[in-house]
Amino acid sequence: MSIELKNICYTYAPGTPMEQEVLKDISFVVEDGQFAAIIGHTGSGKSTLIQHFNGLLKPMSGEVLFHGENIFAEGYDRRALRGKVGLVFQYPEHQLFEVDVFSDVCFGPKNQKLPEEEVKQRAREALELVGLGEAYYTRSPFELSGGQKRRAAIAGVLAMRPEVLILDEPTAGLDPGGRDEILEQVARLHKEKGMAVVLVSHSMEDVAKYAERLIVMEEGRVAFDGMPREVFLHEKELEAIGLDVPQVTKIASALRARGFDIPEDLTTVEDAKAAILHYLQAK
Amino acid sequence: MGIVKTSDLVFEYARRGDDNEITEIIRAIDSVNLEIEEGQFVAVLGRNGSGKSTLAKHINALLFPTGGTVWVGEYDTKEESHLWDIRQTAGMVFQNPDNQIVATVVEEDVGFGPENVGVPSQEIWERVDQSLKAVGMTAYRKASPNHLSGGQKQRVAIAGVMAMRPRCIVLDEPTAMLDPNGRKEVIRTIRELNRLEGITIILITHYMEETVNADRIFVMDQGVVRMEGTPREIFSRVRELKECRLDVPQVTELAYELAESGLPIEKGILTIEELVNALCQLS
Repeated sequence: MSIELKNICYTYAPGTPMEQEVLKDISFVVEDGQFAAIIGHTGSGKSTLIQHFNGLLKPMSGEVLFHGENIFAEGYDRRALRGKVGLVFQYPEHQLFEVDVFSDVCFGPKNQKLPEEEVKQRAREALELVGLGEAYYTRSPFELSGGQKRRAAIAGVLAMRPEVLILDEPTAGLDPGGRDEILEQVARLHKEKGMAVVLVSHSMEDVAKYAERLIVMEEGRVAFDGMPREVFLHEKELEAIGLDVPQVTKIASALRARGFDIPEDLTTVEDAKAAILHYLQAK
Repeated sequence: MGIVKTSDLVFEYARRGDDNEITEIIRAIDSVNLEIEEGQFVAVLGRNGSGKSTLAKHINALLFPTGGTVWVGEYDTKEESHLWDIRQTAGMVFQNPDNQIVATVVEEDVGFGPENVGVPSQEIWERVDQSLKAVGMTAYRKASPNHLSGGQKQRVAIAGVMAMRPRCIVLDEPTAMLDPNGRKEVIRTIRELNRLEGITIILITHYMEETVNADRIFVMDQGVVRMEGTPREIFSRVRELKECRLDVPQVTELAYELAESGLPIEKGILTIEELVNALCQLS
């Protein structure tokens, strides 16, 4: 098990009139190599939660364990932890600052005082992982498109060779092409490198397509936790907390109500197409 | 004549090297001809870099044509003496809500525009009242914009434009930085302005779901208008949309895929109900 949260509570601005309980007794485990997604509407505590994963925030009570060790224990090397649990913030391209793409990606490993050759090797590897070839190395980050900038920023985190990659709405503001590029790259990292991924998203369709596990946050608690297709069966409850299910899931339940004998846990266009064709041909 | 019209519109800009020498001329808009009727709800789709924002800025006279002409109302945007008439005819709302709010109280922000052009204070207050009502933000008139959600901030920005009594509002990806609830809020607001106040809406977006109720859709790609038609016409051309790096709602994609596999159903299906009805007739 790579990251374990035990009874995490977090209160924002305690002891002031702005005091707000953001996380209320959260416990779950992100297993090695798992692709998990977190959804929840704005203010449900998602962003606060993921900042506990690499110790940027310290819980008021409860424990965060990485490979079984308490990351807030005395003497625990949280600096090294942040290399292993890579966090990509929202709009990470706002944090690009070097003169060219290659230097920017080198910044993290260089800061860790790695030998220069190793730094460069890691930067090349990271840029390859996000699909930015040598032609981009000397380009200024400001010359890149939105999707490319974001991939460059993600490469900066990958250059630290994390075991777990946490992404906070990595596709916000991108066009559909840019969105697919990012998510396909992340899926490849997960598959080929066995990297655990935690994806914070607003898109039910993306979650259904990529994630193995879905955690739904509501008012600082975990409302649902399971495989996306299981969680999306709770259409009514999800709607009640301001969330949606993929359109395909709604189509499946409307068709079932009209007598179609198809599974109710359909979430992707591919699956729905196969199920509908199968049903109609069998008739 | 339509409220917005372009004839052979061309816009070019220069990329410059280290010594400020011109290294490349980029043609962002390449002979665009379009006409938008007063009172319509028009959507402009296109990937990042397709020229849609550049087009929008011409309608607000923030950019001027390199070649061809843009008319807004009865004015040619090149007539500098009518700059303010043009901007008053076509108001503009941008992507980032935080960049468009200037005052510390909602009602003052909404009154900023009319105050700036010397509207008598009695009338400013009338306009503020009406505009806040039109976007459903009257209850927040004394609030600080800092305490509003993204969707609420965008509605305040829209009210600020409304207070200038425009005939047309151009919205450049107004929902790109919002969560799903904020997105719905903003879209509902602009649809109502269109329906109840008769304001022409030009919505630039890459969320297809936001365009299904438009009167007309223009799809831009590489500086040209590549597709034009009603939502039903546009969404029946799934393959071409994908070539423009756009995608379609799951329901439309599923209908398209089923039709491609030989089921006798129409392409260009936009709602779940339509698809369910079409499939029920087959079984």
